[in-house]
Amino acid sequence: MEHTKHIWRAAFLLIAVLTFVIVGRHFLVPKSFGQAGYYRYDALFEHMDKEPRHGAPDACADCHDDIAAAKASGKHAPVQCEVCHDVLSSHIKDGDKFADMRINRNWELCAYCHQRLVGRPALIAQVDIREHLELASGQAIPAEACVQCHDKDAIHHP
Amino acid sequence: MHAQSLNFLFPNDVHIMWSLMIVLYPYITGLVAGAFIVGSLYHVFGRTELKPVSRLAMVASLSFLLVATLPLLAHLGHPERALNIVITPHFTSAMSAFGMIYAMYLILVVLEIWLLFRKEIIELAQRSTGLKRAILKMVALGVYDISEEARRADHRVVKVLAALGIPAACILHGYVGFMFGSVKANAFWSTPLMPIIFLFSAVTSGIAMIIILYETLSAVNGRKISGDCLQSLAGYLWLFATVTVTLEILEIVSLSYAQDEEWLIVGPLIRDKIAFSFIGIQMVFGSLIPFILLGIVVTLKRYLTAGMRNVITFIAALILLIQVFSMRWNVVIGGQIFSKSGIGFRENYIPELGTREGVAAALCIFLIPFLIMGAFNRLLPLAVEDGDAKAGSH
Repeated sequence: MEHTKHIWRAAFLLIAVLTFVIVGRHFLVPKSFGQAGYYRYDALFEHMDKEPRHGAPDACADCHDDIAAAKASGKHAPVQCEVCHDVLSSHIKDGDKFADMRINRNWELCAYCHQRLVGRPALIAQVDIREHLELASGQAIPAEACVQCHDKDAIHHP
Repeated sequence: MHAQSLNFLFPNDVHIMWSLMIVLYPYITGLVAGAFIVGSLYHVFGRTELKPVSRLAMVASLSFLLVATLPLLAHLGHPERALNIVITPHFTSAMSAFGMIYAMYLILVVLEIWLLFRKEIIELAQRSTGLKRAILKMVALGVYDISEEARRADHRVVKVLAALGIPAACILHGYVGFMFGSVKANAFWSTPLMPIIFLFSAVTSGIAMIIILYETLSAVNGRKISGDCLQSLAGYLWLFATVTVTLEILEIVSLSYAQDEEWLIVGPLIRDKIAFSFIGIQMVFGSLIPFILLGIVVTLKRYLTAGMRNVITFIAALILLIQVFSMRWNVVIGGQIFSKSGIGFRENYIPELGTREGVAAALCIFLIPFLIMGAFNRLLPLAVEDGDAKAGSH
């Protein structure tokens, strides 16, 4: 026992460290954690306080029923309006239009689904964008390359 | 119907989510576990011929352990949230086990290294002055007792810690293999054999790394390499590499022989997509060549000079380090380049050079343990001192 002083000191140090960790954890765990499940309960209310930015899937059809009907019969039916158009809250406030709807016409958005990928199901039309545009090597893809030919009618009623 | 379900079918498996960093992570933790097992062969199982590498192995294990989390942090989109999994671990999540396993293992290794180097720490403290002396005295916990009795007590505790460390090291790396083996949607990963393969390849890489470090350290310090030590390490390396490769082959042979539907995608994956890294590097270059080289060292030792044995063992160890890395690569990347629905493959993954998860960052992370070992060696010599080495089996 006489020559084990250092081992006892190490053991006490270890206990002190573990105690510090356990006590420290107590302060680090958010107050509402575990109140209604294994998550921070307050996070729910923080999210509920936020203004919704997106509309419900059918919200656009309230005013644009003609486009919605055309789109529903087309190949883009499962793609929500707000994928290519901006979020509803940038266009409508309290049921009224307050600004024009912005549209993303960049080729990169189209490429997200239509760039050829080996693992992508064949029923989605796919092209190698550069090949499809017959671009020379080093030539940049024009920002709105796709919509020059595939206009909005083709997109809504393809 | 088809169109309705499109959003749920893609793009779930056309991207490589687990990048080079996730290849590096099991590689580094494997070195941690493997190096520890080498140290334990001496401390627990009394393989006295391994005394010259016993300290080196423990410090190597700690050095790799200290950087083991860096690849994960580099991979995370929000590394600042990393501690959440440690503060509020959910026991149904395998990943949450990491914090506890890592912490337990870190405590064991630090305590063991402290006891192994206590005498040197105290001697250094007595030679030093000022702040350095104060720090070293604090590290020694204020006790300068290096009597025979105190050293015997140290050895007893080291033995217990090393014995506890063996299951801890096995859990640490078995858990990494479990992370992959438990992904049941992935035909290439989902096998209960995965943790075992990971564990054995971890020990292989650990022994190989210790051989490389020992030979390099001896050359740098101008010390003689202990023949018995290297011969024994070469024997263990041969044994573990053979078991590892056998398990790796058995896994593929089972899949191929059973001809289940997974083989429809795993077969072309191995034959076409990862043929170079799997058949070429992992199996032929990485396994067959070291098997022959180490076989020569183990079975024909009478005919080899010490120099030849050292060189052959060094080369075999280096190739096996590449083999284990290619195994991690093939599992992590290979398991992601085919569609989980078996529909086909994506393009091959080529890591970027300069990005956060790129080759340069991976190399920097991998370099850090060697810098830690170098710094440690300057302060407290990793080689066992001459007196002790002579008492071993020179």
